Amino acid sequence: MSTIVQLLEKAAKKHGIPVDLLTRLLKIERTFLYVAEGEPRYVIERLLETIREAAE
Amino acid sequence: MRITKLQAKNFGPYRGTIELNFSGDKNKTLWIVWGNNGAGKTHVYKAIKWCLYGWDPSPGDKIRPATNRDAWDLLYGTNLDQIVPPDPYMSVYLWLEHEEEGSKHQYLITRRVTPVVANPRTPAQIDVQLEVKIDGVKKENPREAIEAILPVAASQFFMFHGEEIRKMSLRHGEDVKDAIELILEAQTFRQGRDHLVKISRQIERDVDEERATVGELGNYLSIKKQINEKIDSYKQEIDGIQKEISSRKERLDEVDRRLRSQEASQILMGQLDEKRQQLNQAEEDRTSLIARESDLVAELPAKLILSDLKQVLAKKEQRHKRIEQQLEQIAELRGARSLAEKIAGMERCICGTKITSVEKAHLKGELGFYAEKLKELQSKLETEDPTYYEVRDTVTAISNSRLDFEEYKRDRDRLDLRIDELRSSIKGIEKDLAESDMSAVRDLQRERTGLIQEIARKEERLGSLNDKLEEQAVFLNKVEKNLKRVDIHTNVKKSLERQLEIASAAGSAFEDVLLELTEVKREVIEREATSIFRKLTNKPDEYDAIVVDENYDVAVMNKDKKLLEREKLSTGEREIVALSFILGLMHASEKDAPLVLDTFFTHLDDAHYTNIVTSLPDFAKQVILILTNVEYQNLRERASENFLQRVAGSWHAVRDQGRKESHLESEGELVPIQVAKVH
Repeated sequence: MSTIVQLLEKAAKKHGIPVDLLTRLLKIERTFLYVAEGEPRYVIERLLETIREAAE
Repeated sequence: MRITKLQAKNFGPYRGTIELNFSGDKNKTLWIVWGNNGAGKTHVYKAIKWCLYGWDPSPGDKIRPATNRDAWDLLYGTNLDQIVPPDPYMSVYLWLEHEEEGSKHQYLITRRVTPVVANPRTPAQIDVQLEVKIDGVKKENPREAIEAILPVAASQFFMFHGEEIRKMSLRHGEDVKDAIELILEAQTFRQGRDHLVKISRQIERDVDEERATVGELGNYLSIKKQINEKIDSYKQEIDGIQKEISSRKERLDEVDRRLRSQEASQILMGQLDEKRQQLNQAEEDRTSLIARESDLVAELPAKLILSDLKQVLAKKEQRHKRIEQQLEQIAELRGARSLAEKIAGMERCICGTKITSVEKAHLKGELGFYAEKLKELQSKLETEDPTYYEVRDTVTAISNSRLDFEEYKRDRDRLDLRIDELRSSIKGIEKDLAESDMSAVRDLQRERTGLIQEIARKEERLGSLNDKLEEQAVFLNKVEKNLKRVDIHTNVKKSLERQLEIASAAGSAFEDVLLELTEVKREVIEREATSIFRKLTNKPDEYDAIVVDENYDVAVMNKDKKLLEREKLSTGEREIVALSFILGLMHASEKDAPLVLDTFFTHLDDAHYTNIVTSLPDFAKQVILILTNVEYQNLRERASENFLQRVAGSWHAVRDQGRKESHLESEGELVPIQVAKVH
């Protein structure tokens, strides 16, 4: 298991949120950072959308 | 991730197609491309990076999108003296094998250049297209697909030139530190944490707004209660009034019924009222007639002297007429005299005939006659009687008076008779009524009028109450709508509060991961770099470990536990430290990608070279070495049996100076230099 996955699981447990959600948020951030055209507004919208879905 | 095949067309100095097949025995991890300077060996490395990213970032380069300029420069290859690209159709096909969660996937990445015009002269006149297929399926977002397996940031530490490793061997600048954090994903978590904090604040503002809206709930409920109370009160009053109206109408029906039964009396009453009205009118007329009597009495003397006055006026009229006749005669004479005077002064008459002296003498005689006659008449003219006009006006006034005693007397007698008749008639009707139940009729009539007025008043109040009721219903509807809106806001608020919890928790989780990740990764780099360094260094008895500080700067610790800064090491040693660090970093990044090293053996001494050659096959699952011919010769001289067994294949980049183009010659296995000498 990768270091990041281990750390995510630990943090998810500590803060009481699903690790799956943290992983999805991380993937969005990765896309934003790695693809140079990524705009903050775009990534924030996608993060917010994921959080909204999780809240429902 | 492994490269299984590379195919490039018209890439750099290569005309036509070159193909490098990397498939084969999995235990053979090493691939070599070698050649003289300018032969095009580095363009093999460039083809891999261009195909993947469209440009060639070095450690510390700011990540940016690929441009046409990047492709344009590659079209020339090493033919820098040419004005236009030798061939504007360029393409690179890269086949990869990537393992993810236990299953292998085949990638085909294609990047190609096509000209927009026949002979492009600027980067704007070419078109660059990228396509990614995974297991034969074309991906909608090819860049994201590539980034998912080997991000451009990570590629800087997997595929690099010797120059870049020399840069890494010096103290890291901020750019290199950022690149390291990118590959270790600390940047991802830092950025993610900042974004989540921003999102939390945004949601918090929304929650506050919703809370304010939901706070209106109490007000709306209170207003609704008040409206309902009013509606109930109005309805209650309406019910009461409706009952009262109904009761009054019933009573009215009863009164009407009873009145109808008293119809005869009603007719008499009608007649009585009519006679009384007529009597009143007759008495009023009589009163006003009596009022005229005093005027008649006052004018009576004048009436009596009217005949005497008329006789006096007749005499005065005769004198007046005579005077008028005399005045008429005088006026006629004056006219005639005036005409005679005018003609006497003229030479010719109006008709043009000359007036003779005889005629003039005759006229003169006439003028004398007129003068004498006028004198006579004027002397006889009587003077007007000064009382004539006064008497005439008095007679006219008395004669015009409409007052007439006889007529007055006749009118008065007629009215007296009428009044007597009416009184007599009233007495008769009253007598008849006395025989009927008149008091009951009067009472019923009075009650009926009262009932009608009362019903009208109540119906008016009823109308007003219904209007108010309607108004309150409109208010209630509005309040209900607002309550529904508030209900929705209550749900939104709950959802937002949940979102806020998640965003805050996720932000804190990212922060926790970030804090731990940096430390954990730094320890991994240190451990892995030390392990590699100890294999590569030519001073294993002096140097003990690689130490990485919080800025990812590297130092060497000697056996006495003393830190030696990199600047104090030799160039070759620094490069060994940098390579160890990069390999440690690759390990810490947990990315699985081929290691492509381009001419990095330049500054190494024999011991370092030998150590690297020994360890190189184990640096990564796939290692592609780009070597100068000198490096290649050195490698062949120093290659161990183990190394040779790990070489899967090699290609020789050859430059044809005459045709100004390069080609690749596949050499298969690496042949040790001693064996080559025997041949």
